[in-house]
Amino acid sequence: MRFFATTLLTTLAILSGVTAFNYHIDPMCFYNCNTIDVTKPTMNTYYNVAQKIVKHPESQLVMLGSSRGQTTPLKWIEKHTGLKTLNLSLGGAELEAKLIFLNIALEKLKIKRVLWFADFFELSPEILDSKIKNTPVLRSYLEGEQKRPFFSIVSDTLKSLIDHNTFEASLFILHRGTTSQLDQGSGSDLDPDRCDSAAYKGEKSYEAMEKEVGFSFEVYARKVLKMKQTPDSWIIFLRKLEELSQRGIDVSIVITPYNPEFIERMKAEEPKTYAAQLQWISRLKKLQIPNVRVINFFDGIPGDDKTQRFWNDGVHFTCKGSIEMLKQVFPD
Amino acid sequence: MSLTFTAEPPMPTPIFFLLPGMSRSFPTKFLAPWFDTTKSFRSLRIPKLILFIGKISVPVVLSLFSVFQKKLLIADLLATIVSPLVTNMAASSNLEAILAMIAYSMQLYFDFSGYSDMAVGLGLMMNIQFPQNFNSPYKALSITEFWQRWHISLSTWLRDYLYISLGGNRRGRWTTYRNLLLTMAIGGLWHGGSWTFALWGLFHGILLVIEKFFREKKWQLLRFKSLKLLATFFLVNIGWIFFRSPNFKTIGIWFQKIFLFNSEKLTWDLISLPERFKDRFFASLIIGLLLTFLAKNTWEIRFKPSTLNAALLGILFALCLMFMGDESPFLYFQF
Repeated sequence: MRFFATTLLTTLAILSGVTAFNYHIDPMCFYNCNTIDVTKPTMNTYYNVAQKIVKHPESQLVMLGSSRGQTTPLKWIEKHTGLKTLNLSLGGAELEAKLIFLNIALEKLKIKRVLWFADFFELSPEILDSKIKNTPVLRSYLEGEQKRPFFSIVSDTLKSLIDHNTFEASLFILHRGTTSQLDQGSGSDLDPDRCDSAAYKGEKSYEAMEKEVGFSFEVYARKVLKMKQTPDSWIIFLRKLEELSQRGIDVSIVITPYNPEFIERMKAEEPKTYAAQLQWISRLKKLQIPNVRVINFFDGIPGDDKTQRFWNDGVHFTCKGSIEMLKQVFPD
Repeated sequence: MSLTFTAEPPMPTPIFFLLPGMSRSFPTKFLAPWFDTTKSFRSLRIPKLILFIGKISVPVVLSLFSVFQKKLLIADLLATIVSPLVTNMAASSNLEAILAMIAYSMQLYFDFSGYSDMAVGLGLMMNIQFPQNFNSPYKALSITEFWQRWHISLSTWLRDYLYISLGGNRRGRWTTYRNLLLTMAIGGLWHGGSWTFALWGLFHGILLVIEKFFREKKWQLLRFKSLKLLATFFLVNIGWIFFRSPNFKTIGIWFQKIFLFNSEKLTWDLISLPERFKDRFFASLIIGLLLTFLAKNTWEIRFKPSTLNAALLGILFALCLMFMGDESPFLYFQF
């Protein structure tokens, strides 16, 4: 009995210590973040985007996207539109995440224009990311009522308090002691002249890019793009577009492209997935909402030479690729 | 106190007690054929079960230690790199192909032996003694010895119910060789309805036949133990390529890269390894290799229920709870 008492006491002591430490540091903003506080250091990427919105109240153009929107040179957009721009793109961001950011932006900013980098998967709802689900202030911006059973909230909270990821994040924040990076979002540090120049060579070698095409095909074409879009997501999406239209906000929906080799493989190896993409694009192109424009790059980026100058992998274009598309979205 | 338990003298156990025990024992569901029920359930008697609770520390240690160390810290971390490399073998470099082969050998061993230890620990909590399933298999000095140490329950079952039923070694040399090849090929197919598994079994069958032939002729290719160990480990690794590959095309590409047959395009980069997993992957691989070749296995470790060990167990338990939800399904669930 003494053996087991010692074991249990040790376990309880460790877990209590970890819980108290995690609660105090709150690296993911799960426990002590009822408002969007720009001084709060956090490892919660969604909360960090929300902080950026609050930090830049003068922004008039917001860009929404997933990781595919993260290589957009913001300075290029600002130069060609004259609007202060904020890039709210985040890896894996689907409809719910984009709408949370948009709702915060609508509340905190005076938006004139929205640049929406559309992804097929954003209308295929998955289980809500725990970084949104467990953050009260982000949850409050969710579209529609999101009721969760009390037991589910308690068990998620308890699990996150003893989770090793939270613990590692707490240690990281304690060690670094820095505040969050609150720039204008991904791509704010990209030099548009460098990206647009003829000498631009890309960020990696051609061989590395080729390899990445293979990897991204396995993950993206075989898994992510196979998820089905739901009518509910479409309805929420359309409602939001109508709301933006009524507010007089211009919306440019950009249908983002894939690497030509990726597309060829998708046609040959995943014809159903390819057909679903075409169906989605066709529905988007038929949208008849005032102030909403759809620009389709699914068939390719203008001038694409299929090299690492335009592509990082099968789905992510470089800043060069992004600029070539932006030239069509914001013609002089 | 040792982690192993000595079986009680044979006692008749009523059939109504055996059947529910068998049906509720998860190893029989997922890992058949794992054990001889007539031996394992001998000790399943209620008065003994109550008394046994006092000794429960050993199985708890066995389960926790195996799940945390073998499964979460080694097998799962290796899997994060091995899976994408195998899936996209055509794009992997030669070095990545070699790493994928060794890492998969480690992943499979730690995953499956961790699972077996956990099952043994859980069985012991109910006073059911399952047999040892892994006895440091990569320390084997021959393929024959490897099969005496790897998935012992399966190899015993194959020997008792296939090899001996086919005639074993009683009908001359060539029939013995045929029986070995058949037994191993069927044993391969037991893992799933794919020709890659049959090929894996056949590969081991051929190696067993060659070893038997050499033994009969009293020929010895390698004299030093370390060389024998390395050669055996290498051959077992080669075998796992058949086992892990989803199809023959992948086998071909993987072999090409391992044996450097793609001489016009040899590459030694590690680009395909995701940056955020790289450090943990190499740490797990090195720890796995060290544990495999230098450490005692879980059945050889002696455990005393002291205060220090109780505290260590507490730390282990806390770590398991902190990593809860990170684990991937056990590999052998698919077989």
